[in-house]
Amino acid sequence: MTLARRFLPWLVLGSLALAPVSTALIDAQQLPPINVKRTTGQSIVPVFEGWERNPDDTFSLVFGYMNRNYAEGISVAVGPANRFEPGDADRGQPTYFYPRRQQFQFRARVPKDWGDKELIWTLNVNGQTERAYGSLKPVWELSRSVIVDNVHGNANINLASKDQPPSLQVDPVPSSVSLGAGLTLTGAVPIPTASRHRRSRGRAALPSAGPTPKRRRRSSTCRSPRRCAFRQDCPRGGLSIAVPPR
Amino acid sequence: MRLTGWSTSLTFAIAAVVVLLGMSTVGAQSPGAAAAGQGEVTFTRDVAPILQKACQNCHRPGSVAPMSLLTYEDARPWARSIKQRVSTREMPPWYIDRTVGVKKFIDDPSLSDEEIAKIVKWADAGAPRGNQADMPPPRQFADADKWAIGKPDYVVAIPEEYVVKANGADDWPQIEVDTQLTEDRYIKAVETKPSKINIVHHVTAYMLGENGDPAGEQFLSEYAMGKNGDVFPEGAGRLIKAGTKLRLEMHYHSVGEEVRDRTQIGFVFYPKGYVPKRVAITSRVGSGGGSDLDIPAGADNVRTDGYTRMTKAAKITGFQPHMHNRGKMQCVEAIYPNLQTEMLSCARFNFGWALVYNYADDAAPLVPAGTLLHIISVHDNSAGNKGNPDPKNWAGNGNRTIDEMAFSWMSWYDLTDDEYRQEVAARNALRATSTGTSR
Repeated sequence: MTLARRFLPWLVLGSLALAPVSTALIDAQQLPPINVKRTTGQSIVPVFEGWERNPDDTFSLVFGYMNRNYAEGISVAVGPANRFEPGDADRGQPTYFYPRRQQFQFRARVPKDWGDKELIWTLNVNGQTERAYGSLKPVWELSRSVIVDNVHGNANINLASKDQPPSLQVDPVPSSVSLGAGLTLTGAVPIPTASRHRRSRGRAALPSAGPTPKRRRRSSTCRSPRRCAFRQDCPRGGLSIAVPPR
Repeated sequence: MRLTGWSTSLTFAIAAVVVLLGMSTVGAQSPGAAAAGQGEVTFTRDVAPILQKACQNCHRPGSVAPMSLLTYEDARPWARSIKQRVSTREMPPWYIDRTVGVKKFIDDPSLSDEEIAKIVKWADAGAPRGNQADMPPPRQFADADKWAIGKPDYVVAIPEEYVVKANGADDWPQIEVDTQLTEDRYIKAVETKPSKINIVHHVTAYMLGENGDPAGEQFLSEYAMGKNGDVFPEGAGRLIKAGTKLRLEMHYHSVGEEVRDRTQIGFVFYPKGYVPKRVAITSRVGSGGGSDLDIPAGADNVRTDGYTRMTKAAKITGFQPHMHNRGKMQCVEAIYPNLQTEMLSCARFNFGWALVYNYADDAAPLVPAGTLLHIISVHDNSAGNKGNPDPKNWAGNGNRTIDEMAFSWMSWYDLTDDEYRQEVAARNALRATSTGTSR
């Protein structure tokens, strides 16, 4: 073993031991200079926002960005200046970047055996290269409430956790209908509890200890507290509602 | 890498650095060592009284610190670490920059230079025990010692234990607490105390309006990891009405094992019937800087500036920096309407100790209406920051523990312009007659 190898571990440990002394102390006389807010000419930082579990055991890495310009939106085509690696350079990332911070912009799916690998998004703008390193480190795990909390504020968390995207349930329709005869569609729009409690942003969103507030009825056929029925009479000659296949 | 492993590795790394740093400094002449005098410094006569006064409230079985310092046998193995931590003023936790602005605080636990010199000399001398007859009687701890604000008059708790999973995304439950107060009371001091501090990032408590109406919600208090408590100046308080329900905005994060928490809030009240003249206000100041947070990957000494205008004259009563793991230091500066500036306070930041620095009444800054409070935050996103969870990535404003923030919880009470002038005149008169008092 050479002398250098023999003493290297001690040099490293020694450096570690001394590191806090050299970096920990900063006082008012050493304040860094103030930042200048620039409207144009700055870089764009790709930002790793975290990761989500998908129902099929794969993962989605979520990204956003920070356009450091206060006024300049910038187009960057997918390619050497806007690319992912390893693998497909195009992972659905934006090609137009609005000014300042844009959170939770898109998801890049990785397989369930992704492990410790990193998915790197590189942006080169105004001559500066910036990178985001996506990984599955536990501290970066996302949930719906994390996104809601960061985008809409903490007071809406309880509502958001109950809220669901809107959906449409259509009752069975005849297998055939004569042209020009018209068709009546019936069905329901489930209304999540949260939608009926929603308050303005910034107000508390507590679980109600008292009676459930009355919901404003959407139509005369709205009876159930959780299922609002609808009736749509379609004009002769055509349908005005697109009904998904059931 | 799992959080458990990350936390454990970090703990060992910090422990290694602490021990090595202690080794590297033992034997060296430390600043102030000469002040301890030439006589032998012993544990029983010199060190034990300091530990009793400043350390044992936390460093005792069942309290928050990892090791006991009640006896010589407890303290002796830690002599070098104790020397290192106190000589760098890492312990007791109190990170105010003593060369800046206000220098008098309520419940300042920090050691004097002379006390630090004694501990350094004791460690350098091999940590001698001394004469047992010199040992002071053991300190008696009542439950009151568990609260930084003193024995609370009233304590409320969340209805049931909250279970935080071993791994998972950050969690922000909103928990309602019925105080069951039967009469209106004015709060003199308030403290939030999680039962498990390592999973609680923050607790922001609000008082709901009448009959639990969120529309009438008012701020009660804020807790961040390691915070002591809010103590309002004599004559200033915050009203909590009979029957008040609280909304606790919790922020939990996983630490690699399932942990159960039952957070409490303790109140010290003014006497029944007493109505304080002032309303104690606590608010986020300088938050505007947060939205601009732009902390490059790997960068140290990244500065962010935020400003809040005081619409009324005020007496500033407390300063509590708020950042996350990459926070390094924060300052509050007053920019007066005549454009003169005064740096009020700077403090190093330690994410594990989100202390509030409550100003002593005769040193609390007086500011005229229109003053801008300028919050200057400095972050360290480099690998040199041992608490940094991911130095490879950019960091910006966000509510998760892994995100960052840059604002201060400032406490004050409003003054009329006339009251402001009177307070300033009284302060100046006091200074003129007391040469030893300064701020």
